Formats: sequence, structure tokens, C-alpha cells
Amino acid sequence: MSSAAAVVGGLAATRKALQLYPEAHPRFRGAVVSFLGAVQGVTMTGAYVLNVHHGRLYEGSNVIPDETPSIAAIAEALEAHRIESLTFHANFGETDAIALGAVLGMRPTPQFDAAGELESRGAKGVTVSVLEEDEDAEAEKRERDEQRRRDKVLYEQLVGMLRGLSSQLVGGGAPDLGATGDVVQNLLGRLMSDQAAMLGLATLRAKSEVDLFHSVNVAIYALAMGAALGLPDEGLASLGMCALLHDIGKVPFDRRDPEQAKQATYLHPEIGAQILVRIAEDDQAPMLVAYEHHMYVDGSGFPERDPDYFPHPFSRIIGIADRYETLTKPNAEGACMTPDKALMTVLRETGRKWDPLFARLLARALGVFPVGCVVRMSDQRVAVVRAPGNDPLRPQVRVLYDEGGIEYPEPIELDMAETEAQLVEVVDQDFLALEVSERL
Amino acid sequence: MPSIADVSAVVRGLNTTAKSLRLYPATSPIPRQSVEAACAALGALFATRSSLTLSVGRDSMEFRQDGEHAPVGGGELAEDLRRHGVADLSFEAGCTPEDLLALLGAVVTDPARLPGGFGTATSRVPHVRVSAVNLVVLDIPQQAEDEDFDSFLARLAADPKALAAWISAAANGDPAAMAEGLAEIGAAGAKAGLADFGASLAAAFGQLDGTGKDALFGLGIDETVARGLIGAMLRNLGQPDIAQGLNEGLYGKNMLSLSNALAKLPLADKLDSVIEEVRRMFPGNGHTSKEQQFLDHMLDVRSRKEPETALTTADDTYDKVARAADVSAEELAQAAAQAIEAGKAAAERSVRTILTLLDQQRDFDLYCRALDGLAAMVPGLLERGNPKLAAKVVNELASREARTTQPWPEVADRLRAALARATNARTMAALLRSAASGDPDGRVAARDILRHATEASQQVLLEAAMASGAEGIAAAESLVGRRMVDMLAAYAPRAQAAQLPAIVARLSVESEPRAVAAMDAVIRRPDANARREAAVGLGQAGDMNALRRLDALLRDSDPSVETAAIRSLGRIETAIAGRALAARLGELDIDGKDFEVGRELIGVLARHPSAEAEDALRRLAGRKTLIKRGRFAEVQDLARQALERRGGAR
Repeated sequence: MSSAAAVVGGLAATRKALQLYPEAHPRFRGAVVSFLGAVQGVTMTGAYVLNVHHGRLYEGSNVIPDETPSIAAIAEALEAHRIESLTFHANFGETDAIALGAVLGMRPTPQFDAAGELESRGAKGVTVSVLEEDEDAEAEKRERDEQRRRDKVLYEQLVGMLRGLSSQLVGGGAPDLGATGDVVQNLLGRLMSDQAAMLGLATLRAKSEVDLFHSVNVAIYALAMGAALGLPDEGLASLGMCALLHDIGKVPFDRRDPEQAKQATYLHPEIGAQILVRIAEDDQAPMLVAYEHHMYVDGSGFPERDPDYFPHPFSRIIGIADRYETLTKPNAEGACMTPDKALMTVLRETGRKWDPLFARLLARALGVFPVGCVVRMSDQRVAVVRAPGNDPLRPQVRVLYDEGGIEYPEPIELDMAETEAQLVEVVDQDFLALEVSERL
Repeated sequence: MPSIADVSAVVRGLNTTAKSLRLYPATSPIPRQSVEAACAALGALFATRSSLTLSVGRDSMEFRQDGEHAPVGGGELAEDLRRHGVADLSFEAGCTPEDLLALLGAVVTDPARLPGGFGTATSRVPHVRVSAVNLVVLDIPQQAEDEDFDSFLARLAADPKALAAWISAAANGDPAAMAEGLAEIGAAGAKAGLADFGASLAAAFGQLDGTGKDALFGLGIDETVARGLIGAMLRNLGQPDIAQGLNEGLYGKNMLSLSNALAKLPLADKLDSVIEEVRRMFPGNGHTSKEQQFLDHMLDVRSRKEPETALTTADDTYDKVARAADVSAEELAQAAAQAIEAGKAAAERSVRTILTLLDQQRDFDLYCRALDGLAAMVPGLLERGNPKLAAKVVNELASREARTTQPWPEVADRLRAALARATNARTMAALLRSAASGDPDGRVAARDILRHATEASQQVLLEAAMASGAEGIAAAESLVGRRMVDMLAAYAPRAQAAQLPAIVARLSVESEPRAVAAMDAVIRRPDANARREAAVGLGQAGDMNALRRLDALLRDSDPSVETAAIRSLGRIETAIAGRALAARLGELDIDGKDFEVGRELIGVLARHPSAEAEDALRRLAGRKTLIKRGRFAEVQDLARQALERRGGAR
């Protein structure tokens, strides 16, 4: 047996003995003595270094052959505990041996601090170098978390603004859109800088105030389509406002009453237009969109109109965004479609209900696997789509569950174009009792 | 108040530590891991309180909350403490792992080996208080001390309680190390003739908490050296125990992990019945029917041997969607242009929509809102260069006012109010701008709108026109025609002084009696400011009527009016104007009291091109007198300088 194999074998035996025997037990003593002997043999001429790289152990820069199961086990244990190398010094003693065995027997975690654990056990004759955290990645994650917090605040502002408008209308007042323009501009700004993040927010499923959340989500989807179309800023601002207000005609109805709920379904476009007439002085589009967003391109839909009446482009865009949003959120029976199926449904309805080019714009803005799709991969890991990829069939995903279905403590960012794994299924988030919006 | 779950976590940690201390010394990493977990749980509790007191209950430790004792687990710990006669344990903030190890070391020690009793043994443990210590010494058999290592592990393998303690401790460590250890224990048991280590493991399984059970399941799911032992354990466990262990632990958290566990655990012929049992427990564990449906699906997926086909290969719809999403730049540009173009037509569409809503409306309030909204659009339409549509709106409002058939008594008033709103000051200002721009269509539409404007609105138009001076009045006149003269004449008596120049400039040229009367009234207004501004307006008019009126104002009692009249006449470069100025010069006591007016007059004459002006200056400069009274010399100098300027100018 080589000296390296003796050191590694001694370490493996010590680790196992620590698991099994009291310290006074002969086997424990035997394992420690053997380990100490092996280390003393290699440190007579100076420090002795064991490295681990890609699952293999190296004595300095020479590979240690996998002669025994213990070599592979220790290589695996070192990597699991984020240890890159072990340096044994000439003063290596019993305390060090026991401390090292104990540390390698601990449950590994992503933040495992091997050096700290050794120090707390009084180890002085062995030092470790650990795999460094990628500081850039950490900083990026912190920034992403902070941006996400700010995005949520923006989302809440939008919901709050709609809540305020609804209160004004219920109280019989006229809608005051004073600060609305600024909030829409903020939304627009974020959408331009990070569309995927905003599309992630739109996956939010409301537990109450469903209409308000719906309107904000529709605004996000509509703006994504408008941006894909290349509308100028002023047009996008108007489109965003239209989308936020498209369902305002539902506010006056008490939809806990089934009769009123039914009326709201068919009358809200006209009521919405009546409400928005009052703010049509400078921009008529919100009023028109409220009136037209359930008018389909084949002349069907409601309210009824003359055969030559063709809805405003914003109405056609928002009609599509509205449909997609509705399909992806649970209906009264709790059923909903996965985002990919909802997109397919919208495209299938093209020609009858939707403007074909605008429906394609939705696909262009969202990607084949829209943000929020929960996908199962061929290696059985499960991820959520966080952004479209360069290849429309290979999105960028955030892997949430490992092959065995255990949740990663920290999700893994992955570009499907850079992995051999393939998408094999899009999973309904309810199948996993998962709230996707919390994972984006 | 801490939750029962939080307190249970502390007790669980203490219990596990006590178990491991039966096998390992306090310095061993195994009890160390458990005690650190217990200490962390205690630390979390101490974030909101300074101490925690646990009582020793009949079957478990108990925590007093709201006057009730709630069981918090730790049956073995309670049993040990009872043996020592302990009633309550109190932990204080600052408690360290060492404190807990010292306490638990005493707990697991045979009472007979604590000479001073439990109270004495623990009295120096900081941050821990023990109460109601019973000093009864029990007769506990001693453990054999000189056994060899095989028999140590063999005994562990055969003793479910000890085995459970070992598993509880090892479950907190590295799973790979635990697998190795368990395999070693199993091997030692077999060597010692243990018939079925699986039965021993199964018995230990029943004594484990969730973490320990999960750890054992994990060794069976993964390809570890202990997988066979887990299979043996599962053979000895009942289906409900297995199902419950899975459902309530790590693997029951979602259907991915549960299906993986069910598919990979060596359950052999128990698989179907365990699955059945798992399903039966679903509702009680809060899982939905959707999750159950997904479990079945995933079990099917995980049972397949052949690799799964990529979704995009199995379903060509994804390819179709990808092609649909590939919108060319030309298509985008075309669609964007259409959208922008349609946006421009939005106003027309809006008017049409609101008119439709008006016609369909049965609710008076909503009808009025729509009316107001429609009326409010008019100024914006004009400002954005859509006078035709603005006129259409006004015409629609007017025609509805004329022929309203609505059943509401107030509707006519509301229509009139809407019409007034549609023709408000902003509209009038926009109309003027439209007229001034010279767009013939705009002018036609503006005239249409003005036809329906109220008296007040027309007044607003007039005021807006006057504010823009002669150009504004001309623009307004292009809309209202000769009516402008009447409107100005009617307005003149109450016009502000600042408005008068424009009014006077326009009315001066009129010979209509009403205009003449208005002009006469203006220049006779008692207010000197008004007369002064009128003089300015007359200078802008410059016609014969203006000359006549300025001639009169040259002799106004107010010097400022007189000066304004002189300057206005100076702007009229005709011989008549020069003659009038010269005549006035001749009338002045220029060397005496009229010197200031005279100087002004000399300055104007210096610039006036008429020969009459020059003659008047020469006469003045050539005056001869023996007695030079007053400011004679000064006047002569001014006249000579004026003549020099005229000469220079020529």
C-alpha cells in the first residue's frame, strides 16, 4: 500500500470509528493510532498535501489510484464538505486526527465551514483550503434579491393604485389618475431593463383582490407585447394605462351576488367605458380599450358593434394578454393551464378571436416556454423557467429540486442550451403545491 | 409565547443527545452534533424570552402554556429524569452546549454512581436549574466494560434502543459515513449470529423521530452500502409504519421525492400496498387530489426503463409555437406603423363609442357622465389639430339639445352645460390658434363650433382675441365676421384699459354709428389710463378718424394722455398728422409751463417725415426776441438739434 493510500485509509477508518465506537474502544484507538502513524510517515520531511479535484484525490499533483473504497469515499467526503486540499503538518497529533475524522463525518451543507469546525475542535496539525464562494455570484444574488424586493414594492404600488381607484369609484367619485402615470412609467422602466423579472412577477396568484392582481399582470404581459412590437415610449405608457384600467367596469358590481356577477361579465366593457369617459380628455385609448377588449376580430364578442367596427390595436393586444392571464390563473373550480398550454391555446384561437400577428407577439415576448413554466428535465430534476433562451426551445431555468425530488437549499441557475438534459414535461405548479412566483 | 413545535425541537435535541451519551463520551462528535442542535433551538427561543422551564410528565416532557401542561416529546429523557427524581428543569439564556452536556451527562449516569445525587451533580451547571430532586438511589446493573470490539457492535446491532440512539446521532452527520457505519454494525451483528438485523433495525425505526427515519430511508433510496440492510428493515416493518414514515418526513414533502422514494426503496412485494397506504393517508397530510394524481404519474415515469423523449420531439406544437414567435422585422415594423396610425384614429373611434353609449344609456347619471366626457374632449381635439371632429362633437351635443327625447326633465340643462363646457375658454383659445394658422378646414370647423357657443363663450373668444392684440382680433374676425365689430363695440365700455388699444385700433376705422359711439365714449372716459390706452390704439389705427380723435386728445387735461396722443400722431406719417402736431406746438407756452410737453413734441417732430414738421421746427429755431424769458434758450437748442437730426437722417 502506498503512503498516500495509508494516510487516506487511516482517515477513513478514523472517521468510521468515530461513528461507531466510544473513544476508549480498542478499534477507535486502533484507527487513530494507524492514522497517526501514516501521517507521521509522510510528514517527516515536511508538510504533506492531499488535493481533491473533480472527485479524484491527488498527492500533491499526482493522482492517487482508487485502490480501495476508502479512497473514493474520502474524495467524495472532502468535496461534499467543500474542502479543496488537506495539509498535514509535522505536529499532527491525536486531537487533529479525531477532529478531522469528526468534521468529515458531519452533515455537509452549502455553507459548511470546515476550517472553523477544525479550529473549534482544537486542531492545529492539519489545515484545509476550502472551495471559495464565487464572490461575484454572491454579489449578483444579493443584487437580484434586492431588485426583486424593489419589484415587489412596485407591484404592490400598482395594486394599491388600482385599489385606490376602485375605492373612489365605489364611493361615487371620479377616478383620480394623478400618480398613476409615474407608477406606469416605473413599470415600463423595469420592463425595459429586465423583462424576465417582470414576467416572473406576473405569475403571482392572488389569494384576494383577484381582479387587481389580474389587471397588473395583464399590464405586464401587454407591455411585453408592446415592447416586442417596438412601440415608442409614449405609446407604451398609454398601453400600460389601458391594461391597468381595462376591467375597471367590474368595480361597481358586487360579484358576491351571482346575478350581479353575471351582469358584470357582459356589462363591464360598457360600464368601464362610461367610467373612463371622464378621463378621456387627453388620452382616449383607456376608454376605448375598456369598451373593446372583449371584441374579437371575427366580429363576435361583446358589446355588439357594426360590421365595419374594428377594435383599436391596444384593445387587440390587451384582449390577448387578458386571455393568457386568465388561462394561467385558477378558475372558479381551481383549474388552470400551464403557461405553455395557455400560449398554445391563444395561438389556436388566432383568426377567430385574436389578431394573428399580435398573438404571435405574445409568443415572441414570452417564449415557447414562458417564464413561470415548471419543467421536469430528463435527469428528473425540476426547474422553473426564469427567462427565454437564445434558442426558443431551450429556456433559462432555475433548478429547484434534485433528481430525487429534494429541494436544493439554493436553486441552481441553468441555461438549457448548455446542458445535455432535455425538457420532458411541463408540470402544473399545483402538482407540487408550489407557488412559482415565490421562486422567480 | 414559544410554539409547542419550537419547544419540541429543544426536547428532541436533548433527548437525542442523552441517547448518544449512553454510547459515546461527551467529547465525541456524535453527541456534540445533537447538543449543538438542541442549543440552537434553545437560542431561538431565548430571542423572545429569558428562560424555559420543562416539567417531567408521565410519558413525556411537558411545557406549561396558558395554565395547561402540553406534552412536547422526549419520553426517554422524562423517564431518565424521573429515575433521578427530577420534577422540573429550567434553562436560562446563555446556556451553552457544554452546560447541556454536563446536565445530560448526569441524566444518563446511573443514579447509583452519583454519590451526591443528581442535585449535587448538576448544581454547578451554569444556566440550568433542577428542582424537586429525589435522592433515592436505584439499583441499576452495570455494563460490561472489557468486551472486544466485535461484541460491542454486535450488541449494538441486537439492541434496538441502543441502535435507535446511534441512528439518531448519525442522522445528523454525513449520510455516507452513516451508511458505512450501519453496514459495519450489520456485519458485526451477522458475525455474532444475529439472525435478522433487519428486525432489529425495524424495532429501532419505531423509536426514531422524523430525522432518523428520513436518514434510514435515504440509505435505502440511494445506492449505498447499507441499502440491503434497509431492505431487510422494510421487510420487518408494517406498511402503515413505512407509509407514515414517508408521508410525514422529508420524502413526503412533494410528489417528486415521494415517488422517488417509493420507486427506489427496496420495498419488494410491499410496494403496492405501501403506495395504497400512502394514498390513504394523503387527505390527513394535507395533500390535494392534484398531488395524488401527480404521484401516480411520477410513479409511472420512474418505473419506465427507456429514456424519456424530449418534450419538443414528442409534441411538434412547441416547434409551431417557436415558428409563430419568429416575427420578422418587416412584420414588426408594419404592425407598429399600423398601431401608431390606428392610435391617431382613436379620437374618432372614441367619439363614436361615446355617442353609442349615449344613445344606449338608460341611467341619467351615467348619461350625464358620458356627456361631460364627450364635451371635455373638444379642446383637446382642437389642440391636437382635429377641428373637424371637435365640430362634430359640438354639433352632436347641439343637435341632442335641440331634439332630446330622453325622459329626464333635467337633460336639456345638462346638455346645455355640456355644450358650454365644450366651448370653454380652452376651446376658444384653440379655435383662435386654429384660425390664425390659416387652415381653411379648421376655419370652417371653428365657425361651426362658434355657432353653438354660448354668449359667455363668445365673450371668452373676444377676450382671448384681445389678449393676442390685432392679430388675435383679426383671427377672431375671420371666424365671426362683421359680428366682431358689434362684439367689440358692446365690450368697449367695460373693457380694461389694457384691452383698449386693440379695441380702439379695430373700431376706429368703422363708421357704423354703434362703433363711432363706442369710440367717442372711450375717449371721453373719465379714467386717464383708459384715454391714454385709447390714444395708443388710435395711433395703431392711423386712419382719418383716428387723426381727428388724436387731435382732440392732444389737448387732454392729463399730460400722460397728451403725451400718448403726441406719440401716436408721430407714428402716423402723413402731412395731416404733421400739421396737427405743428399746430399744437404753436399753441404751447413752450418756454414756460408747457416746456415738458413741448420737448416731447419737438422729439416727435424730429422723427416725423412731413414738411409740416420741419417747418414747425424751423419756425421754432428761428424765433427772435429781445427778452429771452423762461427756457427760451433751451427750447432753441432742442429745436436746432432736432433739425440737425432730421438733416442727418436725410
